[in-house]
Amino acid sequence: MQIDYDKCKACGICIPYCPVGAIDQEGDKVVIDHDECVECCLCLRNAKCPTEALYQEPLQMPRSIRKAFSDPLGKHENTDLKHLGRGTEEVKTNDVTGLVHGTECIAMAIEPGRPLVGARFSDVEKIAKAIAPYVKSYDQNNPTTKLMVDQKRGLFDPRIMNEKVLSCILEFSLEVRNLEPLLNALRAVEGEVDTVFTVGVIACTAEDGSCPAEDVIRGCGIPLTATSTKTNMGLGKPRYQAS
Amino acid sequence: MSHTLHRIKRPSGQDKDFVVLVMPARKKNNTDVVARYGQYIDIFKKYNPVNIGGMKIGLLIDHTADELKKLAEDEAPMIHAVYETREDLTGVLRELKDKDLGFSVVVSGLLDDVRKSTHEAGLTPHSYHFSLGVWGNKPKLPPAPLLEITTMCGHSMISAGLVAKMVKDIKKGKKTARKAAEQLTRPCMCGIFNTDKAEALLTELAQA
Repeated sequence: MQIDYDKCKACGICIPYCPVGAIDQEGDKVVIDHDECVECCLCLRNAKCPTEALYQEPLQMPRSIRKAFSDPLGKHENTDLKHLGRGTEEVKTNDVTGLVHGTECIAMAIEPGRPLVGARFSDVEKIAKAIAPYVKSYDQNNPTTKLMVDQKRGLFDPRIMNEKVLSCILEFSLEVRNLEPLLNALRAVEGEVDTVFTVGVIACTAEDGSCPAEDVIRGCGIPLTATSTKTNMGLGKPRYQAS
Repeated sequence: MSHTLHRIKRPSGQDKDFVVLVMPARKKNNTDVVARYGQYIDIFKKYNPVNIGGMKIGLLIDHTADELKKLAEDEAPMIHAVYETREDLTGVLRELKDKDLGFSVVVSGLLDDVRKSTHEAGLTPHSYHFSLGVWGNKPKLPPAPLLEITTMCGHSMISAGLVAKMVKDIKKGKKTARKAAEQLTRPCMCGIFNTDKAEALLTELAQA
């Protein structure tokens, strides 16, 4: 994001809108810390700058990935995925797509940077490397996957290591028996990253309504009472049928 | 993305926030999307929604439900409605089951509450996306009362700085808590921000 100083009156109306605190007042000027700015366009769209001093220049790779991940209307033009969004349809349409089916295999969505802290890909890679032994396969429709150069080892394109995004999602499948060791690996890497990350587990119910993955989560002492879970109600048609 | 997941709930507000999300599956059943969104909106509006909306649709705060039906575009990836009570959630789920319109329906809320409504509506969950919460360098997070407001937008479009400014403006009498909550609702273009809950939390923060 840029400021046209011929127009800016330094009123500061845009400052509180920035989710990562990249806009500040310095003396009689409003300035943007471009190393911190994630190009989300929140200030541009919502602050209603009275002189229209905010603008965004066309972004080139690698900076363009900031916008692709951080702006809800940003598209992943730098990959062969052109759709909006940081992840996939995941559990939202799982009753139709069967992305996750059966109870032995589950999926996970780990989202570095969320909520409101933002993450650099150097930290995303630290997490990806820590969980690599337990990942079965990464979701190939996920834009974060498209930036990996070695999915088995959890390595990313070296050009993007310093790029900061509001969040991105490591989305992958794994066997339910590997859930507990993977959560232990995440606990081990928690203190090594300069950001936060959310952790989600996507799992199907069995015919009797039980969910083995839920038992593992509860067995690990993780409460499911402080943040909202998503429940797919099974109303999508045609319903996925395992072949 | 998992934008309705990970809404942080402190005990006082746990039972006042449910998001119903309706989504066609790309290349599977995404036909007649606009007309079918209209049918979903007709159901949503009967159960006291706090918010209805989505990208390329608009928000209930700026339009009537019937206007949203006309504004919905074919490329709108999904539509949402937000409810404050479990009774309204049960009602909307029961009607969605009866009408059987064919897009996937996902509810975001605390697991035990959603399970009760699911059961009362006669539904059996197909799958879950469990939230295991926030990990990592948590001292970097804004204070919990602010997070309960900001995490109502999963894309992080509600900044902690803006919430803090709203609280300050309410304290100074420059804005009502309602006006402040409405101002916070607009950056969340998915329509999943709970304006009523934000108003209550802002009032609480301004009185602290």
